[in-house]
Amino acid sequence: MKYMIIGGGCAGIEAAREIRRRDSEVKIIIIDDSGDSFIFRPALKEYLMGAIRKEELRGLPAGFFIDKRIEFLKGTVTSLDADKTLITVKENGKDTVKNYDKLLLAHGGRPNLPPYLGDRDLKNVFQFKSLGDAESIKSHLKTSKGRCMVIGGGVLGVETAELLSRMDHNVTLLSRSENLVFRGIPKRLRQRVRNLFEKNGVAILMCKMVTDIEISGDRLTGLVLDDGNLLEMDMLIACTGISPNLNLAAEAGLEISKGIHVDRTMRTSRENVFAAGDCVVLDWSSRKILRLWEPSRRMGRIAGANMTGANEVFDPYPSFYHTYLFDVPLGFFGDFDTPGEDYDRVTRKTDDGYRELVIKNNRLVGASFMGGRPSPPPFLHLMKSGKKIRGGFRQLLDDDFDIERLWYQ
Amino acid sequence: MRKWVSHDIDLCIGCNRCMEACPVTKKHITIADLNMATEPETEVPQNIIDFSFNCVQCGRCVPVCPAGARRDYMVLFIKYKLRAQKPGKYDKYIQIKDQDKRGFELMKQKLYTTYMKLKHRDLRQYMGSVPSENKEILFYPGCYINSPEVIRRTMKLLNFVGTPYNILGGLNTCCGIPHLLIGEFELAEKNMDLLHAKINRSTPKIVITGCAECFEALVRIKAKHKTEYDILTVTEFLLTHRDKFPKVRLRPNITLHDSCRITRRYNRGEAPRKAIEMFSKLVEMENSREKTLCCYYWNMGHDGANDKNRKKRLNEARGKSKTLACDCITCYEKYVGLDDGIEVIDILELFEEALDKEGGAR
Ligand SMILES: Cc1cc2nc3c(=O)[nH]c(=O)nc-3n(C[C@H](O)[C@H](O)[C@H](O)COP(=O)(O)OP(=O)(O)OC[C@H]3O[C@@H](n4cnc5c(N)ncnc54)[C@H](O)[C@@H]3O)c2cc1C
Ligand code: SF4
Ligand code: SF4
Repeated sequence: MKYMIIGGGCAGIEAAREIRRRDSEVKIIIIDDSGDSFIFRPALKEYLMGAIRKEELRGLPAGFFIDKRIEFLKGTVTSLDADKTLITVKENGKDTVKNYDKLLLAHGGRPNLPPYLGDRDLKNVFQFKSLGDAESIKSHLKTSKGRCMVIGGGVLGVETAELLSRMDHNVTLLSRSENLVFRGIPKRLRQRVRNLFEKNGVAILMCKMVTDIEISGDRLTGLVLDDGNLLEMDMLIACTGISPNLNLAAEAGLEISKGIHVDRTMRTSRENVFAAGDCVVLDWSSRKILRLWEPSRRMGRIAGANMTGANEVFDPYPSFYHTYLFDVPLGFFGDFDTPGEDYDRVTRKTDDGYRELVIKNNRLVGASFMGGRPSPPPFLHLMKSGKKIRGGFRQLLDDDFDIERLWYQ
Repeated sequence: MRKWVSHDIDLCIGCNRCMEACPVTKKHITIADLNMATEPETEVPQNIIDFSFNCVQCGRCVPVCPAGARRDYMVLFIKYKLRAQKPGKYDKYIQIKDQDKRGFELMKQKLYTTYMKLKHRDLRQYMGSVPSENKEILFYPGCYINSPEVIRRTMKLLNFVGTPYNILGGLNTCCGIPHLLIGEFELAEKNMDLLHAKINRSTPKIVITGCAECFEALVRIKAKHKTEYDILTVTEFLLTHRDKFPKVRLRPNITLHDSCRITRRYNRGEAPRKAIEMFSKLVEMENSREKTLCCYYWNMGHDGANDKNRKKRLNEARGKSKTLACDCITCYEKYVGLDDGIEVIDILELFEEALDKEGGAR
């Protein structure tokens, strides 16, 4: 039996581990084109800031692949034929064709670039996805004095803007829409996030379109906005989302839309082909897209298990995101935005904090918060188990609510 | 626990902030190694074994984690794993504390208790007997009944307040947290269940304690057995009777050492602050509240750096005030007498001094 995994990100690695856990004999091959095998991708932010060293980015102990007898191949998969169960791999400029018994597509996505940049090769325009990107940004920042533009108001955009600002750079964040962090963020919470950034010297421009760009040599020097203003800059980091890699799936005739379609067991529309992580879309769930670390890992594990013949299902709920912006906690849980009909929202506002719970049929289904002393796991536990708490959910909004208590219930 | 811990490993994005914040000694630990060691079936490398038993379960790693993972539980799980593999190792702290010791261990426990009873005759009646008379208040010192100075002080203050109370103390009323902290979950659970039964005999309305570990045990018992009584720290209880105490100024200013459990874990750091403000002026240290540092009492690895770390903490305090107050008896005992340059007090001393001062004036 030969298991082939395309992509050595967290989804791919977890799948490989799960296969090995269940079967000590089979052949497992991971093919990855980046060369930096399994890094803690989100920790690239800490790396950029200089808080951790390159070795600490590694997500696996040394000797892992040898230990687990997992073959790791550096190469790019350029073609997939699901009828003949063959893939083509480009290694050192040479194409080789390999066959598989079971295949996992865990090759993530590619960062989008704003269309107005075209496909010019501009020296001060960066993406932020790989270790290489982080290195380039890092070295540019060493000499950068002017304005750093961060494009995109999503999770990565706000986190990158925060990071650069904490490194004492002059940062402007530009968002095309009126959303910040997540689509559907409660309005008042959005305002508080904005205030927080502005208090820390980051300018945020929302609902602005770029109508033209200014270039000098191989450098981008300015963006012209639809209100006529010119934004001059020293560098630009595009955090305008990740598009799943779909070419292999398209070529093999898999069902795709905004990602590769998978069912609850991470099977694609073709036999013996599975997919997991950033490259998939869950068209059967209200949370269709979960391009985050934890669900990617779990998906990978479930795909791995099912590749060996198990029948485990992936539960996307409750999805959540938690981070710190300028040391202030910010969290989003479950259906914090669109829980359908018949739900109640309870909110509590302070000057710089905000908490909101979404309750449906006496069940906690979503929450968003900023500030306070949150502890995500108990929240998740409540949402997942559907448990009630004595005294009502409203207490969760209190500063002195003993969230630890939930653990013991 | 196993399920939650594996969820925590999934959450972890490897940013290393938890280890940045962690105050105990560790040698070249990467998050990759640590996470791998946390998984149920994996082997634990020696540097992580050392670190795990150094981990004091202070929870300083928790509020810094951007992903909301619980590093403290993850490390606790490693201890549990190791203990299950090699029972009997790292026993020092639970050697004589346990509610139903047997054989030689029981003899040791009894011997120690007899010795303490002879030494402190005034307290002997509280060393191991379980009160059954119904009284509103139960003062639960557990094993620190063997710290007579603190007990006498607490009793003096409770007597002054005047509400009738029982005392439940002794090695055989162990709260179970020592077991929990080294990963003996079953023993911890057993001790807490036994304690629950002992508390219930006198059907108290309020249970008070001065120890952060006992406090945690009580909170856990309350949640598990859905008990009715309130749980207060001694300081919190005294504050409910604050009007009875004379208003005197005792020190120009005082700084406060927060407890890992009472303040950080349970967010109950207000009482000691109010108490200090009653008699003096509070000056906060940089590492206070959520950022508080550990007293290293629960360092099972007997790390040589503990005293150095404590002194560093006292230095920080000295930069703020001539007096450092501790709210938890464990912290107090670890810091008192360590450095001549700063006065370390149990926060109850303020109440006591206030009474003495007024008594003298009368
Ligand atoms: C800078 C940054 C910060 C982030 N921060 C967070 C965060 O704080 N919290 C959070 O939850 N999520 C965060 N994310 C998202 C998270 O990292 C992703 O959801 C997760 O890494 C997805 O894992 P994956 O295995 O699906 O894909 P990836 O990690 O993208 O791995 C895919 C791998 O496949 C390789 N590959 C692609 N195509 C081919 C091919 N044709 N042949 C061979 N190999 C190929 C790629 O080189 C890559 O190594 C962040 C992402 C980035 C970029
Ligand atoms: S609980 Fe304290 S000692 Fe243990 S890992 Fe966390 S910070 Fe370190
Ligand atoms: S702080 Fe949290 S996310 Fe960062 S390494 Fe520690 S456990 Fe992982």
